[in-house]
Amino acid sequence: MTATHIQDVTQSGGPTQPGFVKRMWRDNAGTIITLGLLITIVPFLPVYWIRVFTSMMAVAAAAQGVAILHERIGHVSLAGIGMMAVGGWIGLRVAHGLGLPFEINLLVAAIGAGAIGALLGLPGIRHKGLIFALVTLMFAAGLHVVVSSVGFPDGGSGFWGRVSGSQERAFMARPAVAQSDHAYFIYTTLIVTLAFGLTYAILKSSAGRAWAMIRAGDAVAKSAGVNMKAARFKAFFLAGALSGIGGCLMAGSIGQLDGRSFDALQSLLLYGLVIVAGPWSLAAALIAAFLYRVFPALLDSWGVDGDIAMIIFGIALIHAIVNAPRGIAGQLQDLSALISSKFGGAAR
Amino acid sequence: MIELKDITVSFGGVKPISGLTVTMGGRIQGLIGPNGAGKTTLLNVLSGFVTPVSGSITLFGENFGPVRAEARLENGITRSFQTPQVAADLTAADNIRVSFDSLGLSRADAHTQLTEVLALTGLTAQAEVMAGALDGYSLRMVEIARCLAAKPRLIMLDEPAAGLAADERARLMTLLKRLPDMGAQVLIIDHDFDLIGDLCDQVAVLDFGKLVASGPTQETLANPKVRAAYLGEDEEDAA
Ligand SMILES: Nc1ncnc2c1ncn2[C@@H]1O[C@H](COP(=O)(O)OP(=O)(O)O)[C@@H](O)[C@H]1O
Ligand SMILES: [Mg+2]
Repeated sequence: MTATHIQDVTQSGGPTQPGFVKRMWRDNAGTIITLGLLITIVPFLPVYWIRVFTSMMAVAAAAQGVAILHERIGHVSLAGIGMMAVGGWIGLRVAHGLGLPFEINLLVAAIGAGAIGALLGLPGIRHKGLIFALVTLMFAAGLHVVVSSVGFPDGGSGFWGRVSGSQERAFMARPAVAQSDHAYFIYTTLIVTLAFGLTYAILKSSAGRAWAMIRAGDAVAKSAGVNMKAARFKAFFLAGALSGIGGCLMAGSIGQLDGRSFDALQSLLLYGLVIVAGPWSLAAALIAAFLYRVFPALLDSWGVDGDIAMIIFGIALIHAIVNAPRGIAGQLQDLSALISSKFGGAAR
Repeated sequence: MIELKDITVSFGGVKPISGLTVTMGGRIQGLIGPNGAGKTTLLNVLSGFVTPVSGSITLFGENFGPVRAEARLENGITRSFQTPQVAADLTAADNIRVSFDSLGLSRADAHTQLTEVLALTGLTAQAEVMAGALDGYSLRMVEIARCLAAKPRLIMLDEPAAGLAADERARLMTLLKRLPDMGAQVLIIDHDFDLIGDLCDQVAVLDFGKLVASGPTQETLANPKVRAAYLGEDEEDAA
């Protein structure tokens, strides 16, 4: 019986892995459909809402970074929004200083924020646990102090790029193809979609496999020859780069950034929302960013105090920890499975 | 070929292995001993997870004392775990690909070798199944496949037959018997004298972190000291 068993599988040839696009769809159908819906519907909304959704998409990029760190290498980043400020600062500085195309600014912001993310991760490369959380929290708080006193580059000279005296503050130029608000929303969403696609590709590459082994346990990862430090370093870089992209997109949306909107509590909030959303899924970034940016705006438009959102988030976090360990993404997945099984039953 | 000289392991004063000197050169080398004898600890020493306070580790004539755990795989030293350790959210194939990643194989080479290793371990049909959804036997096979992917010189298995049904056990044994001819020395921990007797040409017996006996399998298993260690009989009575 054993002999035939081995023979059978030998004859069946090599392992047949579904194609990348097929796997991407299978694993991320919800995320892809949501992105498609956003891109088709949002441009028809009033300008205010288009801007709200644009900034949601920018935050979603940062949220993806936070989700990667939490879910893949077990690190708590409390600087998700802070790292957006880094990306925004770099994007603005390069835009005003060199006047390069928007895409180049975006790339530089991604690499710059990625490098700073990796630097912040250095103490976390060896150790698990609290150290990285503390480092990122202190970084976010320190950064807030800096950007709210020095401000973001707005066309001035010198390292800080601030205008002085009666000089007029300059805006960051949007990409040539996306000057209007609705074009810029579509542009932002496409960039974020591309970033998510890349993230998925990385998850399916050797780096993603190494993270999965680290999650399974240090011992088994080491026994499989995983270079733990290199693997963690890549995650920190990716998370920083994603935040950087988000920050640069945010800067392009508004044209200028205000340091006061980057206090450390915002990063803390984003982390909590990513947990509520269910960071095992790429969709968590969209859900978290929706809760972070769109939900309070909705409450506001209904005349409900935006701070109520905080209380709701607090309850949701407790609910997620106690009852829904797979987060909102998990509950949505269960719901869609339930609906499709109902439909399947009706068809028969 | 495993040569250990005067190995002592200390966990805060407790010494699960003390002054162990043994040469384990069997093509399929058994390692047996009662629970708590130090077998798993010895595997941890050989795979670089536990650094002994004294002694030397020589594998295939090379000193492995200073070789980090992460670097053992690329040196052909591989292992499984007493409770199977896999990444539950990776497919069986991806769990095995990790070894190719570590060795820096090209895509094409990795694909060819993956095909071979899957066939050898009978995992071809389950290649794309998430490891979290696999049964116990398949998990053992994924672990073994991950080791074999590195074309190992040594494959160390910590109670791989535990919890397997009779037919699964038979399949495991068939596979293990093929490995020496493929260039891998097998070190297997098990409690079952029948399995060890059938599989191993050499066996080493540990008790309380010390060597009780070592040598050709039948001779060693018949040793009264070994039976005493296992059956808890008083040594002098047995002898
Ligand atoms: N990390 C550790 N810290 C402290 N004691 C340990 C550790 N690992 C194993 N031990 C102890 O070492 C002894 C040998 O354990 P082990 O090697 O697992 O035995 P075996 O695999 O032969 O059953 C046991 O008494 C165990 O409690
Ligand atoms: Mg053991």
